[in-house]
Amino acid sequence: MPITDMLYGVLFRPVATFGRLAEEKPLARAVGVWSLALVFTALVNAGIFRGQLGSALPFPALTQAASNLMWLYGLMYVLFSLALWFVISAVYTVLGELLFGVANGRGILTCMALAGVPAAFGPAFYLLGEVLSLQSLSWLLMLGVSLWTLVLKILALRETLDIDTARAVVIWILPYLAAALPVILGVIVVIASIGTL
Amino acid sequence: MKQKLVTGIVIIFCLGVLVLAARWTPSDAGKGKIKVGQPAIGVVKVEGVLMSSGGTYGGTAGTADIMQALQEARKREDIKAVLLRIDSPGGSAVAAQEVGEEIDRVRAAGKPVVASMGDVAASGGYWIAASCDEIYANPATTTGSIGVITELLNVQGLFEKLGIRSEVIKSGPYKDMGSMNREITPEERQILEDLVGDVYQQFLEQVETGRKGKIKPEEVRALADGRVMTGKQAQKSGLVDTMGNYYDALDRARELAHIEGEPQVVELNSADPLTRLLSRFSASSLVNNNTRVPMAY
Repeated sequence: MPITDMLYGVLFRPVATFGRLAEEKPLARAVGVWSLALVFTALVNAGIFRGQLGSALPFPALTQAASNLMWLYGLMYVLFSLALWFVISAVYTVLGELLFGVANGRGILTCMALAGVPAAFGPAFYLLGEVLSLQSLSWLLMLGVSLWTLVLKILALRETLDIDTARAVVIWILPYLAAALPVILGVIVVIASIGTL
Repeated sequence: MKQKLVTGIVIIFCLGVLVLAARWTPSDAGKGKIKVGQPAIGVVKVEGVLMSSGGTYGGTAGTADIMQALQEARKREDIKAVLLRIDSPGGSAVAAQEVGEEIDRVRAAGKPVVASMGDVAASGGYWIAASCDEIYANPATTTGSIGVITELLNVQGLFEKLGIRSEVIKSGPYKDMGSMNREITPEERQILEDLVGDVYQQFLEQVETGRKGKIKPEEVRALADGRVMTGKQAQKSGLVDTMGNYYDALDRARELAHIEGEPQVVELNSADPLTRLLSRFSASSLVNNNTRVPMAY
């Protein structure tokens, strides 16, 4: 599948495209496209951060020093996102196998990478909202992008593992629930201990 | 073909955003047709119930935005004067103090600050106005209400009817002062009266300092019983300088800043259209809300 078709398909015809990608598994191209989206996000975020630093920091030298570290922030963002993608895809593969007896590791890696591409529009909308003084609209668009990305990830899991939507939602949400569990327990412990203060 | 066209548009959009990201600075926001370098008057809007926290939504005037706008006015070289457009029934004393301090800094930087009152500039709204160099009001503007109030709710009777009982374990006798589950004790009432009195003194001092030479301290104290008055009445008593609308105040700011010709006007904390729409939906429910907020005045 050509890259243009891949991008168009993920954005406008996700179900059919993920179904095809789950079979073809063009991992290198998918990671390439997603890496470009990550670099784009990092650059836009760096622009926003640099712009806001000027008014937030009291000294120009401090602003300059912080600006000089932008590349490091961008690099860390890209590397961290790639690492997280790899880990979460592995977790989804294991959960698919354990819970429903289906697995498609390479397919999940491919589709999860491409499902993350629309998230790049979030910072772009934020920047446009700031420039055009339409912050509320940009927040709504960013919320829309987040929900869109979430739906794409669930669709990616559904098509890759060939399961129904409810099962895809279960697989998608389990790692987050597992991550939230210590926080919930922590909150309960804190609330319980407040009574003894 | 269609896929390539759409993908091309998406890529062009992304490249455009990248160029914008490389060139953008926050001061670009809302500049519109402003000519960079030419003298301007910064307009800061104080609309809604004053709160130290919270944003522009729901008819509240969060001080963070207002203070940031005043700071920008102080730092920007092209802004020579500030017009404060006030439409607020009051709110938190701390919020008014914070904004008042920021206005003092703008004035200390040699930039005149003129207040223009809209429908209401009462209580905390007047506290802020009193910090400005000059106050403009419309004849029918509601202003004054110099005073402090704290209100406690007692639902003990209701709880008893519902069979709800609260068990309180406290480290000191006054730790649950103001609890809605019981009557206030005479000692607690005295503490709260002292608290209200102290904030009231601070309010009076701010008005006396801000209006020095325009109204005598004893006259301020005579009027500072919480009464509201019209803009016209306030002018007669010396709480307001001039009758005039927004544009009269703008013209006065231009005069004070010695700007020749038509001034450029920069709205420093203008809310975007969607925010204004959302605020309008809930603003009506917040009228007179200041009387319900503890330690509001």
